[in-house]
Amino acid sequence: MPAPARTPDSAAPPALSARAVTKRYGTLVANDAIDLDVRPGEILALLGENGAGKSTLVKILSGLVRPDSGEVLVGGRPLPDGDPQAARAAGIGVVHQHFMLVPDMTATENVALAEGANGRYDAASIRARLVEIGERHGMPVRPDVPVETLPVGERQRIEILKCLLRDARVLLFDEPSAVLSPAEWDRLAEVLAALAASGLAIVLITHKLGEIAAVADRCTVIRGGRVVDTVEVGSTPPEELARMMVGRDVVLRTERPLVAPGPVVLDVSGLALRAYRGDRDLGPVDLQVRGGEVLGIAGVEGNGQSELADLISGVRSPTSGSVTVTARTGRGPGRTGTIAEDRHADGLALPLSVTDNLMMRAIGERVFSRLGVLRPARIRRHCADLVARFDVRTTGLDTPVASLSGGNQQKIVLAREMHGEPDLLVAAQPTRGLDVGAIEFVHSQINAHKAAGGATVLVSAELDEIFALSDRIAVMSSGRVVAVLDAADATRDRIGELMAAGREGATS
Amino acid sequence: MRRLAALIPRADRRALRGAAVSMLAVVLALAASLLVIAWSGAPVGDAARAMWDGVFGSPAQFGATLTKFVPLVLAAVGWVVASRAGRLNVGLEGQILAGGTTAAVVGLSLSGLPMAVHLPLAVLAGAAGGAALGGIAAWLWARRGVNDFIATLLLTLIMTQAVSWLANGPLEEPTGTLGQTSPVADSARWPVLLARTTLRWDIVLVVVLVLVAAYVLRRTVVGYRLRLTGANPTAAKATGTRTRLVGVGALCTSAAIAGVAGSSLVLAAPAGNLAPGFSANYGFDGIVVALLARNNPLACIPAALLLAALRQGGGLLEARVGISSGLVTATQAVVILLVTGSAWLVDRRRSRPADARPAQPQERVSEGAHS
Amino acid sequence: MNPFDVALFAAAIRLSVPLLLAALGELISERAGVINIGLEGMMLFGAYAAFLTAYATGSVGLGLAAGIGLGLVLGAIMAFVSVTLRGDQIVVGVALNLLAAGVTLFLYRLQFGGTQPTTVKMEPYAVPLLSDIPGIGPVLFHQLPLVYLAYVLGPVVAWVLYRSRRGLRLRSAGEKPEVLDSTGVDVVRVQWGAVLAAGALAGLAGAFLSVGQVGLFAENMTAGRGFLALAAVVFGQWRPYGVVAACLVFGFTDALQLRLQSMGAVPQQVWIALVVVGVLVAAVGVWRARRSGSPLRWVLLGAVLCVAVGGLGAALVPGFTLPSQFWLSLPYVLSLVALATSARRVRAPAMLGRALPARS
Repeated sequence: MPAPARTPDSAAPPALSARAVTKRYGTLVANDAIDLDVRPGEILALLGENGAGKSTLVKILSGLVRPDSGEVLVGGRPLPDGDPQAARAAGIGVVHQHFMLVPDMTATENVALAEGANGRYDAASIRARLVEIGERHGMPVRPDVPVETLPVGERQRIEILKCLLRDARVLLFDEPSAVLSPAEWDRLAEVLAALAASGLAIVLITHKLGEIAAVADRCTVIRGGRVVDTVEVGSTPPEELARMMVGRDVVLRTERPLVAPGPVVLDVSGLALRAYRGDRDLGPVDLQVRGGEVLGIAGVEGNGQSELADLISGVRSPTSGSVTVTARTGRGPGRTGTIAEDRHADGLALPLSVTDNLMMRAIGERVFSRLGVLRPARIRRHCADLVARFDVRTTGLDTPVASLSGGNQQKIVLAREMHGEPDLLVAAQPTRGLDVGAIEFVHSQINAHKAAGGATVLVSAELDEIFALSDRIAVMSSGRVVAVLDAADATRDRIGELMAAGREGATS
Repeated sequence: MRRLAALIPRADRRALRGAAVSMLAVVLALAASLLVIAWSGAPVGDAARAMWDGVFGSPAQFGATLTKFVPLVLAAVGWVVASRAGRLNVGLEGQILAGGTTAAVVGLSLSGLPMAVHLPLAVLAGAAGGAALGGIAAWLWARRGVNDFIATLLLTLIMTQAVSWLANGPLEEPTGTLGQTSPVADSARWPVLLARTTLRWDIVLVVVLVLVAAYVLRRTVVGYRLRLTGANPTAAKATGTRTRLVGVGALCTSAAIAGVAGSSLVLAAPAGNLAPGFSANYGFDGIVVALLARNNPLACIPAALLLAALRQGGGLLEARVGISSGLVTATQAVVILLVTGSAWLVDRRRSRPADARPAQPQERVSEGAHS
Repeated sequence: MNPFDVALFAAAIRLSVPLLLAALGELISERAGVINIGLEGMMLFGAYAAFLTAYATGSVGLGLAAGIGLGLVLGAIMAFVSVTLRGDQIVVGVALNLLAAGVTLFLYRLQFGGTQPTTVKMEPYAVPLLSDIPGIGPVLFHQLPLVYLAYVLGPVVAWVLYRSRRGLRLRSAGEKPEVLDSTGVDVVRVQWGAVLAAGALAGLAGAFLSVGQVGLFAENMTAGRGFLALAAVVFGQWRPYGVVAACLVFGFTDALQLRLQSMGAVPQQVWIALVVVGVLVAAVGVWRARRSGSPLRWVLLGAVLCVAVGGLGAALVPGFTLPSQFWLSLPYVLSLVALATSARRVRAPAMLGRALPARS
C-alpha cells in the first residue's frame, strides 16, 4: 500500500532528536552514542532486532530512563533527563507495545488517568473529545466500555487517542503491529499516514521490513546499541535493510559437521494454533526432522517461530495437528530437550541453587531417588559432572543461579536439557544476550548433539546463527512456513526476500 | 547422628545474615519492652527475674513452656510447608480448631479401645480434620480461583463459630461446666511425660514430625518439587512438575500439620476437652515463628522455643509484677515488623538489569484461576 | 410477636456503622493493591485511643480525632513496611493485630488496673423534619452523627473511586501500576495515601465502638469486626455500593442474632423470611448459572433449597432455634460463596497482596 503523499519539510527543525545518547546496564551498553532526528510530518522507522537497544531508546526518549550521557531535544530544546512528566508536557506521546491501559477502566477513564492533575474529571467533555478526535482521524472507539472487553485494535486506538488528546506533537510507536492482525495493521498504517500528513512526527519502532516499506519515509537501523545507518526507505531495498539489521558481527568459528541423516525423529503434521497473538493464526505447519539434522527456523520475529517452538516442545498445546517424536534409533517414543526463549521466566528458578536448577527434569529418574528420597551423593556427583562438562563458571553447586552471568545460566539450561541425550532438541534463541565465548560453546553443543545422531530445531533471530548451524532452513512468515531450503541452496538474499515477501503475500 | 547433621542446610552467607537479622530483631524488641516496663514504673529487675522464673523457675514452669512450644512449632512448620510452594496459609488458626474438634470427637465417641489404638486414631483424626478445612481452601484456590489467603482466613472465622457452637451445643458436657465438652476418654489422652508438669508425650511426636518435615522438604523429591513450584511455577511446569497438584498438596499438608497441633491442644491439655477459643492464637503466632525462622523448618524449633518462653514468662510477669501479658504479645508484633521490614537486607542480591528486560511480573497470587 | 419491627432495622444500621467505616477504608486500600489484614488491630487501637483521650479531656470530638490520629500512625507503619520496604502485606497485618491486642491490653491494665471506667459518649442527633416522620422517623433519623457520616461516606468513596482522578490513580495502582509509572506518577505515594485513608477510617470505626456508642473500653472490644469488615469488602465485590450493602446485610444478621438471643424461641416470621430469602437467592443463582453455565449451580441450588425447605419444616416445628453461631458465621459463609461462584468474573484487584515490582 503506497504511503499518501506527504511533504516532510526537510528545512524545518527536527521535532525530536537524540544526540549521542548512551546508556549502560552493568557491562552491557544498551545504547551507544545514538543520534536520531525526526521532523514534523515524517514517519521515521527505527529498525533493529530484539535486544538491539530499541526499548531502552524509547524509554529514554519518553523520559522513563535517564541516559548516562547525551541529550534529547524536542523542537530544538533539551529535555530534562528522566522526567516522564516533562517529556509528556513537551508533546511526546508513547504508544506502548503492552498497552498502558488499566483493563477494568473505560476509555474515558483511561484518558482521564493519563491527564494528570487532581480533583474531578469531566467525563462528558473527555468522552466528547475522545469521540470527536477519534472520528477525525478515522479511529472510532467506544468510550464507556471497560477496555479489557475491547478488541486489541480498538485498545490500540485508545492508546493513540490518549496521546492525541494531550496534544502530542511526537508519537513513538513501540512495535505496534506485534499484537495486530494483518487487517488491523492495514488500518493502523492508514492512520499513521494520516497523522503524519496532519503534521505530527512519528517514530515507528519495529523489526518488520514490510511495515517500513509500507509507511515509513526514512529508516534508522540500530544493532548492538549503535546506529548502523539512516537511509531513505524509498531508495533502499528491503533485503538491504534486513542485512543491516541482522549484521555479521558475531564471528563464528564452529565447523558444521556433516552427518548422514538418520531416521525421522520429529514429525510435525497439520500443526495449528488459533489466535496465538491477537487474532493471528499459526499454521498449519508440516515438518520433518531426521536424526543428525539441524532444521533452522528463520523469520522476522513475531511471525510464529516462538509459538512453533513451544508447540513442538509441548509447552503449549496446539488447536489441531500433532507432534510425534521418535527415538533416534527409529523405534519407540523419543525424548525432547528444550532451551526456552526466555530463560528467566520459563527456564530457570533464579533463587534456587545450581543443583536445583540442573535437576528440574532429571529429578524423576530412578537413579536420583530411592522411595522418593533424594540421593544427594549421586545428585551432587551428577551435577558436578554436568558443571564440569558444560564449563559452568560458578562458585559452587549451592550458589543461587541468579548470581551467575547470562552465559553460565544458559549453560545450566543446556546441561539440564542435554542430559540423557534427548532425541530432539528444541532451541529457541539459544544465544540471545550471550557473549561470543558462550555463543561458541552453545553452538558446539548443538553440533555435538547433532553428531551423536540427535535431531535439532533451532529458532533464531540471528541469520548468521541459522546459517552456521542448519542443514535445512525453514522460513516463517505470518504464522506459516513459506519455504524450506537446503542450506546449500540458501543465500542471505534469498532468505531475506522470503522473510520480507511473506508479509506482503499475507496482507494483499 | 550424621544423617541428622546432614539435615542442617549448609550455612551460607544469606542464612547467616538472616539469622543475624532475626536475632537482632528479637533483641531490639526485648530491649524496647524492657524500656516500656521501666517507663510504666515497674521494677525492671523484678520483671526480668519474673520472666526468667516463668520459663526456667521450676520444672512446672519449664514444662509449661514446652507445652506451649508444641502447637507453636507445628503451626510454624505448617506455614513453612505451604509457603515453600508459594501458598499463603493464613488459616492455620482455623485448621487448628478443625483438627482439635475432630480429635475431640474421636476421643469422646469411641471408648473401650486400648490407648495404642485410640490415641493414634484421635491424632490422625486431628490431621484429617485440619486437612479437610485446608482442602476446602485448596479446592477454592485451584478450581475457583479464590485467593488462598482470603479463603483460609474466611474459613478460620467460620470455624471459630463452628467450634463455639459445637462446644455449646451438640458436644456440650451434659452436666458440669457449660460451654465445653466432657474430657475425652483416657485412652485418647497423651500420657504425662514429666510428673507435676503439663508436659505430655506429644512433644516427642511433635519433634519427630518437625524433623520429618525438614527431611521431606530438604531430602525428598516431593520437597524438591515444592521448592521448585514456589520459586518459579512456569519453569516447574515446563519441566514436568504438576504445579497445581503441588499447590493443593502443600495447602492440605500444611493444614494437616496444623490439625495435629489442634489435636495436641485437646488431647494433651490438662482438661482434655474441647472449649471455644482453645486455639489461643497459636495459628497466627505460628506465622511469627516461621517468619523468625526464615521458613527453615529446623530453625522453627529455637524460634518456637523463644516465643513459647515469651508466652509462658509473660504469664508470671503478670502474676508477680502486675504487668499485663499484653506486653509480650506486643513484643512479638514488634519482632515481626522488624523482621518483615528488614527482609530486603537479607534478600538483596546484585541487581541484574544486564539483560535489559523489564522485570518479570511475579506469579499472580490467584494463578489458580486459569484452569 | 414480630421481631421485624423498626427497632430491628435501626439496630441493624447502627451495628453496620463500624463495619462500614472500616470496610470503606479497606476498600480504598485494596483497590490500591494493599490488603490490610490488620484492620482488626487498627480498629482496636482506634477504640482505645479515642477512649483514653475522651477520658482525659472529656471531649467526644477529641476522642474521635485521637482515634483517627492513631489510625493514621498505624497506616503509616503498614505503608512503610509493606509498600516502601515491600514486606509481605499479610504478615504485616498479622503483626498489627498482635500489636493492637498486646498494647491495648497492656496499657488498659496498667492505667486502670482492672476497673472499667466510663467516659463521655456521643449523643444522638435528630435530623430535623425527617425524624418527625411517624414510625420510622424517630428510629432511623435519631441516630448518632457518625451513623449519618458513615452512610454519606459510601457515595463519597464511590465518587472518589470513579469520578476523581485520584480515584483513577488509586485503581490503577491496584490493577496495573506500570500505567502510573508510564505517566510519571509515583505508585508508592498513591498506595501510601490509600493505606493512610484506610488507617484513619479504621481508627474512626474503632472510636465509634468505644466513644461513639458506649463511652467505655473493653479488652478486645472489636471482637472480630475488623475481619467482618474484610469479609464485607469481599462480599461487596470490591465496589463501594456493594460494600455498603454487604455491611447492611452483616449488620442486619448481627441485629437479628442479638434479637433472637433475647427472645428465646424463634417466631415464625423469621422462618418465613428465611424461606423468602432462600427463594430469592435461588432465583439469582439460577439466573447467574444460566449465563455462566457453571456446574456449581446445582450445588448452590441444592444448598438454597435445603435452607428453604429446612426453614419451612422448622417453621412447622415450634420451639426450634438456630444457634447464634449460625448467624455470626453467616457473613463469612456468604462471602466465601460469593467468591467461589463469581471469582472468574468478579476478581480481586490484580495487585492485591503483591509487592510492587522493583523499579529499574
